[in-house]
Amino acid sequence: MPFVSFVSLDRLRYEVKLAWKPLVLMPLLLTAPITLLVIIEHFTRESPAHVLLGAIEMLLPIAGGVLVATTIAQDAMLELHLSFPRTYQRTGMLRLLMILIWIALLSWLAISGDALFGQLALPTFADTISPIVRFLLIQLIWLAPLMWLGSVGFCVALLVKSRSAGGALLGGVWLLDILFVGNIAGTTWLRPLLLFPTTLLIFPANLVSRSYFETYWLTTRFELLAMALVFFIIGRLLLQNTESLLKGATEE
Amino acid sequence: MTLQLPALWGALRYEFRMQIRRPTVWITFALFTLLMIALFQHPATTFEETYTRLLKQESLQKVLADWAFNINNYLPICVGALLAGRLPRDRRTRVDELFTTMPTTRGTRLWGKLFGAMLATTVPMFLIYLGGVCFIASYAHNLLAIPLAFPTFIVVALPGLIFISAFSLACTAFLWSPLYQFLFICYWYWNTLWFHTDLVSLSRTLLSPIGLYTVMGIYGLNESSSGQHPIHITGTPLQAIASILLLIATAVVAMLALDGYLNWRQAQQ
Amino acid sequence: MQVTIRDLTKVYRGGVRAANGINLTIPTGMFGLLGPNGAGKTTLMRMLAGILRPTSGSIQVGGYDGTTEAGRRQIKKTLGYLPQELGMYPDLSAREFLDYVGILKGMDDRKQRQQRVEELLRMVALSEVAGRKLKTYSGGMKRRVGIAQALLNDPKLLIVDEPTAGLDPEERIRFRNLLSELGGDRIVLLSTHIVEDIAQTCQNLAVMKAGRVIFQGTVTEMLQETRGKVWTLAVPGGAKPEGNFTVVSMLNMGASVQYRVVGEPLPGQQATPAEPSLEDGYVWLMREQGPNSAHVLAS
Repeated sequence: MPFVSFVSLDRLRYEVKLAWKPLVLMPLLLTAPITLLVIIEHFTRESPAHVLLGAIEMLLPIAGGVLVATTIAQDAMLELHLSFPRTYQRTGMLRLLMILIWIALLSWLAISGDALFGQLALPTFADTISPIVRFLLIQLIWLAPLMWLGSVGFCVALLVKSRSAGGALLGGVWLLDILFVGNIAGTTWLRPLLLFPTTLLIFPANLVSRSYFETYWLTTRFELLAMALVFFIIGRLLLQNTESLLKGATEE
Repeated sequence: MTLQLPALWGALRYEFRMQIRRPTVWITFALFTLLMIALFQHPATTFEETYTRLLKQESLQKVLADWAFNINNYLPICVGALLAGRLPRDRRTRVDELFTTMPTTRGTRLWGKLFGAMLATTVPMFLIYLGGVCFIASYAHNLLAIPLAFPTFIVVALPGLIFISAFSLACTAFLWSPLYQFLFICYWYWNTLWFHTDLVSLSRTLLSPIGLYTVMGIYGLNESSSGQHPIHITGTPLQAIASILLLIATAVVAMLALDGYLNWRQAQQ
Repeated sequence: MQVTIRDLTKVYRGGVRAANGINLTIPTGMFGLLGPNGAGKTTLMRMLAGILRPTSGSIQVGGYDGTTEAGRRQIKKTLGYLPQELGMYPDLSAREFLDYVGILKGMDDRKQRQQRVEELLRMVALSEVAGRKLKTYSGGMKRRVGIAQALLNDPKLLIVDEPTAGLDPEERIRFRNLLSELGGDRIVLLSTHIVEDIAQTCQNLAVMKAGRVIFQGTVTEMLQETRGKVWTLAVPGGAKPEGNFTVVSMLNMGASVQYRVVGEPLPGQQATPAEPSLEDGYVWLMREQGPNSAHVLAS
């Protein structure tokens, strides 16, 4: 089936119509706690840049993960859809892509704004690398955790087949990853699970050495992306199991 | 809101059974526990290292309170998020319509739902806590840890759990449950930052669902016994009791508001 | 076109055998599938619709093999399916919902698709309210949207699972007539446990029990099987009659109660033979097969 017909504009219009409320509401609601935190941090003379960076690296990706888990876990017309020539598997992947692209767009806008207003500190050695590589490195701040949480949300939703359990698990992983950041960074085999080092480990980045940056940031970003790829493949395979999908429709 | 005790007991048992039979509840806690075990592998903060050190410095009761406090810092995120789906489920499966035709009041059903679903979701959390208690008992060579563990859990963790469970039911009456889950995750993260003294946090007030005032006021946990994070505030037994009562009272208010809201919505239909 | 099913078996994870060696031939026209709840009707329909993969056996729909992925894809192009529980997106209007389903069915030409949607909305008498959100629709209206979506691609095989459950008598009659009209030039497989719906619309039928087909034939053949097994008994004083039979109905006549039974009354009882209905035939089949038996009477 050609990809173009599978994502026709009409199709996209309906997918957006079905999902726009949560897609818009979640990031919008995010701005309230972030603004509050920025104000608090301002009065406590901490850096608002730190809070903004945290929002981009930590909050937008978890919003993406919860949205993915919620969208994939259940569909009102699942049984009917499974009888159509355009498969539910493709619809699932399309919805997954839509959420990830939307959150990626918001993250990109936010980090670009951050950089534009000089709020994004980069390691000093970054001045010597080409602007394109620097641009790509900056995007890794949000891309790696977004892909990891999105792919885990995808798998978890299909495994536990429950919106609430998917959200609970993602929230739990997110929280533990933040609270145990020291343990994760200090244990070699756990280090690939370092989701938010930009905010929690290397801030402000202009003070860190190259080797520290590469060990705790650069390597772990690629490891997260590699894991995300594996999770996406597993999720894609789980999505093929229609019997399990149908059973999941009554699981909650 | 009038309560009918036999109906309350019936609703409680029904909700308890429904929730405890859900494999997803157990899978969620199992995966969460595996992750916690992995995170405790760091040589400086292994469970054994932390609690054998604490047992040398503090009484068994204080060590148990510290463990309950630790558990209550992390696991309620699962409890709150898992309970977020219970009320919308009734709407989706239309059992709320069926229940509305019965002589039992809505308030009774809601309280039954709160306690039944909360207790069922707390069972895996309590088992994880009990697992840690068994290790502490073996490190301390003191079986008294087991009977002491029960009241400690009830005093430290339960008021906070009632508080978050009530909000998980009440808020999902008007909020899309995944959205509530997301906001709850953010809120809980904020709660766990109680040791950041420069950050305004509800968890350093009497309305602390993680049980900060309880462990300080009743069990005397203080800066020396709190391991990684020094507590810069002190609590008295009176404040501890006030904190417990305030958490429960807030939960009651949330449930009354939920009942009122659902009645109002029904009247609008 | 014809659907041929041979030795079809479906074993779910956990060992539940929902379909157990089903053999069935479905010709063009209306075909009824009767059976109690849990007989395996929905599983059979889901396998026919390509939603579930059979554990073993074969499904042939026209020239396509329903046990292969490629075959299932082809079958889905000629299929209309109305599941028992039709989930819809409540915030879409009926027009939008049908348009969206049309896209999912591969109708890429917008103009043709929209024309077809309007045509079907007229056919199911929903044109006037097609702009309203689905969450405002009654059960009967939702069922009509359901049948409209099943017909979007002008299917050669139409599978409808319990379509009249929960409908009021008027809606049920309208629905039955609509299905009969559609059965002229395609296969319409109507699954139900409401015997009356089959009696009014189908010439051919199959009866399922415990994952097996226990009868396949025409309505006349089924009635023939039951002839001589249906009786009416007038019992004075309302005492319950005894015997190896199943009471189908009872009518209180004041001084006595008139029972209609399927089975064998005792020799002393004053039983009058009665003309069997399809419902009597169904009751007879269920009696003959015992609670869990799956002996095939005819196939």
